[in-house]
Amino acid sequence: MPIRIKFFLILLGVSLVPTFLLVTTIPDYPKSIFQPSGAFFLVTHFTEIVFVTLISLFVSAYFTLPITELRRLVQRVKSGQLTMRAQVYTTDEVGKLALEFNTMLDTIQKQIKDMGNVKARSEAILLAIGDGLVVVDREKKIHLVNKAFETLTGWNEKEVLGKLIYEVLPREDENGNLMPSKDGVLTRILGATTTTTTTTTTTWNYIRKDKTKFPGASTISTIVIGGKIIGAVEVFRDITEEKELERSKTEFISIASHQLRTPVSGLNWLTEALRSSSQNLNEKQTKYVGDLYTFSKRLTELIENLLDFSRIELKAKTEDKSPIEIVRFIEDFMGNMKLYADSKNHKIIFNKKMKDQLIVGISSRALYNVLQNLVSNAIDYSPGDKSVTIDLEGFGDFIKVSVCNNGPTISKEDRNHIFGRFYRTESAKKIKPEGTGLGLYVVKAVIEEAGGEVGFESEEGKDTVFWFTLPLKKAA
Amino acid sequence: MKKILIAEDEEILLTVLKDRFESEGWDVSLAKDGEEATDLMAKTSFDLVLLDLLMPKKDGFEVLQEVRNNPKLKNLPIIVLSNLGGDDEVKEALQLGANEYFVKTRHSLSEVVEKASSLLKNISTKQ
Repeated sequence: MPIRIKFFLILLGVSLVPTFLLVTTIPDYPKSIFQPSGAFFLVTHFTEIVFVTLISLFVSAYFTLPITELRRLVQRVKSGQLTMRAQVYTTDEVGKLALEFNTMLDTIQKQIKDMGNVKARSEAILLAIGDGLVVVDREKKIHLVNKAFETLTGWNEKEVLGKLIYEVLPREDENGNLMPSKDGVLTRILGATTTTTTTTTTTWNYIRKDKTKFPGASTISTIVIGGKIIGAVEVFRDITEEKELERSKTEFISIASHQLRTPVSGLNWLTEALRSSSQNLNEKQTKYVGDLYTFSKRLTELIENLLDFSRIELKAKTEDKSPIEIVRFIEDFMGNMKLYADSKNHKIIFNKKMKDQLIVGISSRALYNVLQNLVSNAIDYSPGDKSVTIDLEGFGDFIKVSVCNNGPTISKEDRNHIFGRFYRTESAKKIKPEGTGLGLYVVKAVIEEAGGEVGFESEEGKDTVFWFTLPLKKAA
Repeated sequence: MKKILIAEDEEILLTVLKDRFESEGWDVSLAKDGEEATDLMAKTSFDLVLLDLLMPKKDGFEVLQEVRNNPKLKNLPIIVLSNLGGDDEVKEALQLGANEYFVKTRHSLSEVVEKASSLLKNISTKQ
């Protein structure tokens, strides 16, 4: 029942109590109203009732109108009309309530405006990011994308909101395999039990709306609120230009190295021819020819490393994994290295610690280069007149080749970097200033590509050993 | 006397190879491009061919293809001696019928001669 009616009924009731008492307490009163003089009472009572009713109506309306007004206002505010304000006519409690209500509305309106500004600013920042950005919920459905996303993928926001990210923006790995939508990176990180943000960075080929592709580098992070993963945000950029630049750089190295092979092999062979006719040369000339040979070998090594390096960088596939009989291969290799070892007064000793014929599957060119790097290092870094040993052992399904010398101990700070690209140790810079810092990098890369491992042991007072393993190939 | 044909477009390499093979007792013929090489092979019967891959007029791959398609030359031992060292090139040359593949910078003159002799020896023992 509205408050106004309640108010009215109370007033009416209270006003009519005297009349009621009069009627009920005077015994002859009801009869008297039918007397001539009673007519006057009837009129009086009737007038009184009408009058009291009117007064009650007015009074109840006067006191309850502001409350009704406030109620209407609340309803309007509820429906979003935040600019509405209570019209205040009185200074009593109701008037004060209306004033407080208006102040409250002012505060709310200001806070909403501030929040709106913050949101608009965040959105503007998101939209202005030059990298593509997409936010997905736990179901991997797209929740938000930015302008760069639209430019990079060819989709517009309206087309993709609410759709599954992998349907909108499929991606392939570098071998052209479409990434699975179920077991992909997103599933993994969204399914993580951790309550902190997980971030993962990958490069792959994105497929645009028009089915064209572009290489992209992407970072995906989970969005965690209140300890719960509520979704993920992916930021990605087009790396076509970087890839192209990297490719042309390595291609240049590759072409240059091929071109270099002709003069270098000429140099090698001519020097060799000169050496074989050294009986016609005097002592000094013989020494010069020997030095010439050392330099041409060094140049050869440099070019071979450059070539292998660029091949690794180009990620060229090594399909030629013809079976190699490792014992024969090492013996042949030693034959080739003999001249070089002789020129440095070193001996190469080969220790076979098993009898079987062992076959490994690796590109012969790559294996040759691995041995050449390790053995020429062993020769270059050990004092003169010492021997370099190549140990060959079998370990289950693997072979292990160890190249040992009496060279300097590898320092602690060098240990973690020695297989790194272009890394040169302090002693390497002193003993072999012409080195490229590519040799061991290439060794590690090609051995790992063939399914093996590389490592070294170096302790004060002991031989330094560089080793690698290779999986054995089952005889067909 | 064993007869060898050396096909190589780089004159200096050609000369140094020729001298070395001759000093080891081979009868050496020379070709400076692929066309000359196939012409010579058609006219003369060689025991072995040393074949470069990057040559003018006709490259080594074409020479290999032509030779292996010719019934008379099908079994002629051919060693590829090239600057190309990529796995793809090695594979292609071997598939086209080269008996051996050497990258020039990886082998000394004496090895080249030695490998040529041992290849011939292996082939004759098999036959």
